[in-house]
Amino acid sequence: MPIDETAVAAPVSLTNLGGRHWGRENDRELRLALSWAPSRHGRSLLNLVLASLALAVVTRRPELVALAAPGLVLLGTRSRRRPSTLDVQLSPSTTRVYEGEQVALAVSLGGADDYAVGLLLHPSTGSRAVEGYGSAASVDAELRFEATLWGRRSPGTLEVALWDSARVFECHRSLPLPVMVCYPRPAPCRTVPALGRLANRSGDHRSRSVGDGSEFSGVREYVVGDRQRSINWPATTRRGRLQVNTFAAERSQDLVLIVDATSDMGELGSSPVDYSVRGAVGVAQAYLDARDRVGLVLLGGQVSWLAPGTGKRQVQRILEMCTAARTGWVQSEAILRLPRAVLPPGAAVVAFSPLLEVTFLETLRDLRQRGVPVVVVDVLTVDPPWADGRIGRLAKRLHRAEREALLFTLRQLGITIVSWDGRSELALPAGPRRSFTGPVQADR
Amino acid sequence: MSRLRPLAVVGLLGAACAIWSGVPLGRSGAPGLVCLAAACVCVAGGLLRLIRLGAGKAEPYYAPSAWRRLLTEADLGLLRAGWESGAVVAAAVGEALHSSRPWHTGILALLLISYLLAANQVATGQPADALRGQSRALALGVCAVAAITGLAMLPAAASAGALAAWLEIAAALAAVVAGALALPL
Repeated sequence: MPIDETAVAAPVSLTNLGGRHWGRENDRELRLALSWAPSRHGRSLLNLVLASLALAVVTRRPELVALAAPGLVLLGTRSRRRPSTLDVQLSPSTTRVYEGEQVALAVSLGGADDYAVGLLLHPSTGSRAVEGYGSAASVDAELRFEATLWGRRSPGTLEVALWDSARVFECHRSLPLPVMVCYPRPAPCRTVPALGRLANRSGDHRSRSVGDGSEFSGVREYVVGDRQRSINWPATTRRGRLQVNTFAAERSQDLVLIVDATSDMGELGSSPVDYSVRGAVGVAQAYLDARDRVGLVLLGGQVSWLAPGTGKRQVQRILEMCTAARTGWVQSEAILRLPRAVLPPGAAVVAFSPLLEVTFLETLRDLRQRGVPVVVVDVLTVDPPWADGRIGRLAKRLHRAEREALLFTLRQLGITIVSWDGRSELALPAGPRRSFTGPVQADR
Repeated sequence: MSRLRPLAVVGLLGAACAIWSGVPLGRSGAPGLVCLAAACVCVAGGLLRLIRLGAGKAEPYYAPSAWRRLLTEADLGLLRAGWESGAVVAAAVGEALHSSRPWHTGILALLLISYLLAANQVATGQPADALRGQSRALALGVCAVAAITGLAMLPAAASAGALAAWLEIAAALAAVVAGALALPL
């Protein structure tokens, strides 16, 4: 039962019934005010009736009224009690999804008995209709759509169409779907490089110091107080004195992720900011799984940050913060100096940036001068649009030369730079103590 | 095949309407030819629209070029045009251009309503038995067509003056409206 898409939807008139919840948290009930109008079929009948009657009058020939008679009867015998309101209950299966996940939208209509009902989903930017058509008659219908772009927005509008039994009169109404939160899809990230010197907190990273970890570190002579189970009997036999195994301590580290949203280019969904957010979420999950503390800084016009924390709730906080990142950011003018609450002593920094904004480069320089180990993930995957001709080629060469110089400068500062295309697995430089390098002296 | 059959029915009914209202061509002269051509164009356009609807909605282009945009606009214009209305009005005008022939007009009335119902069924995807709900209204319409045609064929009515013709039109109209209002639907 496809909806006639040529019909223009009338202005929306919605009455929210106080946001009543019908047993499920995501449900939403609305009452639509209906206004009926002749359908395309009804207009054709009306045109035939009017033209025939006019011709009969003009030519004074009564037999031409016969042309109007069937249409007149069909238009005259329409149902006399058409409903003026329609109760619509929308029940999305969830209001929080990751990119690429599908949402089932159950639509229940009340007060539309004996009427044919058509449903058509008009997805907005960031959504794609999977099953966009549906029909119902006072029963549930289910539509499906896919969230394709992270953010907090309505997935589109739902067009509800009602027809009477003869399809002579119809009613079209559009209603916005409830706002949904689409989290960025975490980039796959398996490597979790650690600093050489770790804070004295229990974690999963192998430390240089001896402790109570599970990884074998060495053998030493027994002293009073050592546990008997740690005695290394083969070494004891060889040396003639009691020897015990020692183990490496397992420590956690603080990691601060910086997402540079001060500049963006490219297509929606595959722009540097999109890649940055997905990469940051992926790295955050990987480190939080390793029981590290992870914080987040979003650089834009409004700088927002999240102090390092651990656990699943921190993952949720990071996701919520990233989801709100797109709205209303503007260019930042000043060099940002990250506060100590965001950047605790001994923390490492992983920054996601297209490296296009000078202010962000100054921020990186400031971090290095403060002795903070930094890894930069370069997420610029597209070239700026170039003009044709000699000037365009020259501009392209200049841009590439400038970029090479910039990357060279960052490497000279001791910053590890990783290029990432946004699609493949995000591979931070593997092996502990190699990714994050120590402090450097400020340029004189 | 299941989609082609209703489309073929619509096309044949539209062609029958256009030809029935146009013949004989010599009687109505050039205006009749124009009306016949208009009816044929409208029927063809309507068929095209129905085929487009049957083929389903095309995927939206992410960044349409000027040519693609033009095609999309033309496509929407094709869908929005009132082809069925144009066809039936052109057929009615074509019939009016001929001299009085009540039985011919009666058959054209039945053809036109059949064409509109068939086109609506194809456009909305309704099953054929959806017309059962309108059977009484359609029966009344057929009866009204027969009554008006018979009335117009009476010799006395044909030879009466202008006032009588007006009264006939009003009476026929009143009878149809009264029947429609009396029908318990």
